Amino acid sequence: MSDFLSILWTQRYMVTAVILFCIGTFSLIFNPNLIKKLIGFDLMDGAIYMMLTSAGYIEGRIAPIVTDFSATPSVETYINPVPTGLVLTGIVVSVSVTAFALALVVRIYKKYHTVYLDVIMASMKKGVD
Amino acid sequence: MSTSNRFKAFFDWVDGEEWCAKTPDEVIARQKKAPVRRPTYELDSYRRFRRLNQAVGALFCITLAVVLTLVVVSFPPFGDPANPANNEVPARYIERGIEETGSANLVGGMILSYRVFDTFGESSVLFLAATCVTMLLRRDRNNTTSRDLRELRSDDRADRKDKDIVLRTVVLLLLPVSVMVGFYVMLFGHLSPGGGFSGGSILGGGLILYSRTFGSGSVRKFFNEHLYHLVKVVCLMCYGLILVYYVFTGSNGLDNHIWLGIPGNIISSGIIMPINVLVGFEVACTIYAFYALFSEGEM
Repeated sequence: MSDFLSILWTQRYMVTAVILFCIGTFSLIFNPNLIKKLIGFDLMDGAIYMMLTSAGYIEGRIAPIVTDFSATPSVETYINPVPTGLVLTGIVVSVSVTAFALALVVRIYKKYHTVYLDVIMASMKKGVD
Repeated sequence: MSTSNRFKAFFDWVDGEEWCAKTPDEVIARQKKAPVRRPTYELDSYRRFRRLNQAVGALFCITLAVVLTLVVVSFPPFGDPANPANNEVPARYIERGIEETGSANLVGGMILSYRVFDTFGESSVLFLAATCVTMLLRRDRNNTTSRDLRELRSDDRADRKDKDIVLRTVVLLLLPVSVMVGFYVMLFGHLSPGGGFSGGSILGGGLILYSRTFGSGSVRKFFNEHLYHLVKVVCLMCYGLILVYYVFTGSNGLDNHIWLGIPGNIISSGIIMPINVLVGFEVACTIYAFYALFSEGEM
């Protein structure tokens, strides 16, 4: 048991990411409010960025920005730059997707005058077009 | 106001200031249309069905949490140099990044020269999102009610009447700083943390601040919809042209004639600085467009 806990402590960033991801999934499935569903979606995004950046970190090394140009940069000085670049791309895409989804919610509100998914569904069943 | 009322008011505020229909009948009353068919089932039975749905969902969430935790435990340890992710690819980016891209910021050098095609796709996604939001939210004669217009006009009047001296002074002090920081982050993206996306967001934030304080009419004096489309399209097109030149020469084994400069100088690193500036302008436009479209439906 203490082995398991010590592993969890070593992987603390990934465990936090898992917790955040599950909270996001939870509100994405359960909350009838469309805006809160989107907040859950963004939480899931954040969890994945956290997992990726923590995968690129190496103990005792610094961010990959060279300040000393006299020698060839050595691999032992800097952390892994690849996950950082991937996260940079992901953040922009998630901003775009969130903006698009929020615009859709605005249009849904204009049609049904509500953001609650169950009310929208029930109104659709009632034949309100 | 009692405590429970206060809480209720707070939760209503969290749920949104706008009025929301809570039952299908309210939706019908709002839409001012008679139901076409007889109701098939009521909201209560729908909610009962949802409760079953929620039980299955809860089971799914718990299973997901357990499985993901077990996966995380068997991951390679955090911060270990011997992890499989630290293979020859990042080693090449670090060791030869400066001589091949001329950028001191190795992440910036990586995403804007080795993986520039990927970053171009990302800029296109942002462009596409801005276009879609414009399509969905732009106001025109068909989707604007007289109530919307009345609200907009009263908001505009309140903006013009409200001469809050503290707010205006603070914004006038903050605005030059935010514009300067935005340009700094854009222009020094190859030397320090930052780049086009972060610098553009800061610039767009400054524009939003100005628009919020002095009204959108004052922004429209120097930044209207025509200029917005021009900047957005021209920036993305120049980026595409640079990319085509870079990829074409590289894939045909031609020499890369772009002058890399001395690493550490401001004018250096070949294509990275121009791309940072172009992306920065595009992102600033897009961020402000999102704000303007969501708040008023027009630029």
